[in-house]
Amino acid sequence: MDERRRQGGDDWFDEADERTAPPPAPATARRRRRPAVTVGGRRLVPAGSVLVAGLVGLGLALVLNSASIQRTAKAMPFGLQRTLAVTAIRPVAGLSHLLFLDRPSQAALALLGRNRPAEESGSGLSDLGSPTASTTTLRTPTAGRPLRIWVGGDSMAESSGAQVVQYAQQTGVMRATLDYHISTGLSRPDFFDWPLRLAYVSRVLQPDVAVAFFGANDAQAVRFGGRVLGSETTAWDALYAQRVGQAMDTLLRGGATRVYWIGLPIMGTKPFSRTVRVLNAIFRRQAATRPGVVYVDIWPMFATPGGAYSAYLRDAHGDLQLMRQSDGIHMTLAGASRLGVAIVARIERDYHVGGQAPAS
Amino acid sequence: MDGLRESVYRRAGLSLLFPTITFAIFFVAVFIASWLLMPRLRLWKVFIVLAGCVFYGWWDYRAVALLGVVALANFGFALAIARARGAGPRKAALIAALVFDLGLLAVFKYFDFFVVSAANVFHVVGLQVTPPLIELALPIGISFLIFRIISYVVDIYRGTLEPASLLDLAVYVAFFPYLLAGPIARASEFLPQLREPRDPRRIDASRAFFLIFAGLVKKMLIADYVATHLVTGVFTTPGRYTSLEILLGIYGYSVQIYCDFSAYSDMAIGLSLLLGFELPDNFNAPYTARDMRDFWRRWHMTLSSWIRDYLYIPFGGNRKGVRRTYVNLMAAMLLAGLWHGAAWTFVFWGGLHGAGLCCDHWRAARRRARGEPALRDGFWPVARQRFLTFQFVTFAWVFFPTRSDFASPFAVLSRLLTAWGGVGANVTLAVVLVIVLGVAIQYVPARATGLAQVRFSRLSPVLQGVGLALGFFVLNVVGPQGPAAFLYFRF
Repeated sequence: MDERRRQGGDDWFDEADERTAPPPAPATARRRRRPAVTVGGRRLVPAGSVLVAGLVGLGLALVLNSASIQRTAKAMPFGLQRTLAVTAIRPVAGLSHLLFLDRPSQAALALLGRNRPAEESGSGLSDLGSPTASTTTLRTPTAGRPLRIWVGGDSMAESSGAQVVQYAQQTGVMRATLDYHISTGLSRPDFFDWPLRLAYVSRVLQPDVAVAFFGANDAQAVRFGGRVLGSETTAWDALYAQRVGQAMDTLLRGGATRVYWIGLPIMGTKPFSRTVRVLNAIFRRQAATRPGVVYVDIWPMFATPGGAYSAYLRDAHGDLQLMRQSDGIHMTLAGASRLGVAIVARIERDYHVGGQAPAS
Repeated sequence: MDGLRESVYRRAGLSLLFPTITFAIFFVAVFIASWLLMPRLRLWKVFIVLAGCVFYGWWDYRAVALLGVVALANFGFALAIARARGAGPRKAALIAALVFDLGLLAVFKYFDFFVVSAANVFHVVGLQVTPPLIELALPIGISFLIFRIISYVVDIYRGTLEPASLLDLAVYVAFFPYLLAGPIARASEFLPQLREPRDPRRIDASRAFFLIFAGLVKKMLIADYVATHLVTGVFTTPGRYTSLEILLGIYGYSVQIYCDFSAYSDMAIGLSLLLGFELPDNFNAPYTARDMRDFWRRWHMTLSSWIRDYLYIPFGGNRKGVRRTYVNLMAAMLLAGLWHGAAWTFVFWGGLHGAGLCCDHWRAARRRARGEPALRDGFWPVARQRFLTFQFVTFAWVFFPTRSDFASPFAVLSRLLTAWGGVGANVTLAVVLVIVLGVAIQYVPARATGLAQVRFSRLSPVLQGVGLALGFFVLNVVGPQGPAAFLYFRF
C-alpha cells in the first residue's frame, strides 16, 4: 500500500498527505534513541504524577460538586448501585458542607437559576378543588378561540409529543405546548416531581386538553412509607394506580375538558412488553373511572398484523418504514409522526374540528 | 424489566459514557492497574482485553461475544493469508476474511435496510411482500470495529504487516478508548506499540488532559446545548419553527456534529495517551477548509484515509484517466455515506460530497493546466473559499440527522424557504453565541493551544489537579444535567 502511494499520484486528495507516510515508530523506541523528557516543549511526566494530578482533580471536583452528585446518586433506580453511590457520596457531601466547599456550587447554580425545584409556583394539590367530571359538550375551537393543549410526559413525549404539537398547530385552531422531562415518570417524584409540575400546569396553564405520555420509566422500585416496593408486586401496582389516578385528577381540576392518556406501545423485548401490558391495564382502569379521561391504546398501532413487535411497519401508502428506534422502545420520526397524526385526529373528532390532520 | 432498566440507564447517562463519574472511576482503576502491570507485558495485555470487555459489555454483555468472534476469526484469516503459498490461495484467504467481516456488518447493520428497500420497490410495482427481517440490535461502534480489522487483514495481504499473536490482536480489537467511535487506528499504527512495555516515566499528560477537557467542553457545553435548545426540535418538527430558526438550526447541527464527534475523538486520544499509547488525530479544524478536498483532509481523517487506501486506490484511484477518477471518487463517497448508516439519506449525503469532490478536482485540474495554483491565495479569496465550503458542508448535513426518509430533510429545507416573517422565540443570544463559538474554536491557532499545553506541563501535579478540578466544577455548573449519547455511536 505504502509502496503504491509512493509510486503514483494516486492520492485521494491530489496532494501528499501526512498519513501516507509509514506509521511512526513506537514512542518508546523513539525515546530510547533520543531520551528527551519533552515532546513539543511539553514535559513528559511519570505515571505517579499523572495519578496525583488526576486524583487531586477528581477528588476536589467531587468535593466542590458533592451536593449535585448526591442528588444524582439519590435519583438512581433503587438497587445495589444506588446504595453504593449514596453511601460513598454521603461523607464527602458532609465534609464539603462542613468546610463550606459546597457553597460556590450552590451560589453558581442559584445565579444561573438551576437549583430551583421542579416548578416554583406550584402550590400543591389541596386548593385546586374537585376534579371536573367532563360530561359536558366539548366546545368547537376556532382560530379566535383556539383549543389550548398541554402535551407532557417522559422521553416518549420528546418525539411523539413534538409531533402532536406540530400537527395541532397546523390545524389553525389549536395552540399546543410541549413539556417533557427525560428519564422521569410517576414512580419517582424524588427524581422529578411530576405531581408538583402537574399542579402547576393545572393551576397556571389551565389547558383545555392534556395529552399525557407516562410509564416508560415507571416500572422500577419505589420508596413508600419507609419501605422499598419492588415493581412486580401487588403493593406497587396499587401505589402506582393511585399516582396515575391523582395525576389524572390534577389535570382535570385545572379545567381540562379532556385528558388523553397515551398508553405504551408494544416493546422490542418480550419481558418489557409484558410489563407494559400491566401498566397499560392500570392506565385503562384509572381512565375508565374518570369521565374526562380518554385512554388511548396505541399498542395495535405499533404491532404487526399478527400482533408481534417489528421496528418496521407499513405506513399509510403501504411502504415499510422504520418506526422504532434501535432500543425497541422509542419512536423514530416516522413512528412519532404516525402517533402524532392519530392523536390530533382523535382530538379533532372529539372537538368537532372541520379540518383533518395531515396524512401519515 | 430489562428494557425498562435499559431505558432509564441510557437516558440518565448511567452507561459507561466518557463524561460520567462511573467512567472516571473505571478509568482511574484501569490507569493504576495498567501501569502496575505494564512491566509484565503479557499480563498487561490480558488485563487490557478484560477491561475492554467490561467497557463494551457495560452497554450489552452479549456484544462482548462479537469482539471475541472478530478477533478469533481474523487471527485465523491472517495466518491463512501469511502462510498461503501462491497468489491464488492468498487472495482466497483475503476474500474469505472480507466476506466474513463485511458479512457481520451486513447482518447487523444492512440486511433489514436492503430487504425493506427491496420490499418497497416490489410495492411500487404492485406486489406486496412481507420480507423476512432479522431486527438485531446494532452493536455500538461495529462499523469502526470492522474497518479497523479490515485494515489488519488487508495490510497482511499487502505484506506491510506481520500477523499478530492472538493476544495482541485481542488487544487491538478490544482497546476501549477507541472501541465505540474511533479514531480508526490502523493495525499498522497500533500493533507496533505493543511490542515492548510503554515507558511509565514519560507520559504526555499535559496534552492528554487538554484533549480530555477540550472534549468535555465541546460535548457538554456546545454540542448538547445546541441540540437541546434548537437543533433537535428543528429536525423533528420543522413546522413549529420560523425560517430564521430553521437556518440557525441547520448551522447548529453543523456545529453539534463537529463538537460531538471530535469531542469523542479528543477524549479517546487523550485517554490513550494516559495509558501510554498514541492514536492518530481525527480532526483538524474542518470548518476552516478551503474546498472539499481540504475538508476531507481535516474531517474524520482516519476514515477518509481509510477510504482512500482501502477503497479509492483499489478502485483505480486517479491512475485510469480523468473520467474513471471521478467515477472512483463518487463510488468511494457513496460507500462512505452508506458506512455512516443504513439509509438512503446517508447515501445521498455521500453523493453530495462525492459531487463536491469531483467539482473541486475538476476546478483544480483546470487551474493547474493554466499554470496556476489549485486554489487562489490571498485574504479575500481564502475567506470566500472557506465560507463557501462551510455552507456546502453545512447544508449537506441536513440529510444526516433524520435517517429514514427524504421527507424530513426536504421538510426542513422547504420550511427554511417558506416561513419568513418572524424571528422566532428560539433565536436567542445564547444559542447564536454557542454556534459562533463552535465555529470560532477551529480558528484558534495551534500554536496558542500548544503554548498553553507547554505551560500546563510545567505546573506541579497538585496545581494541575487544582486546575482540572476548577474545570470540572465549571462544567458541572454550566453543563447539562446528564450526558447524551454521542452521535457517532450509532455508526
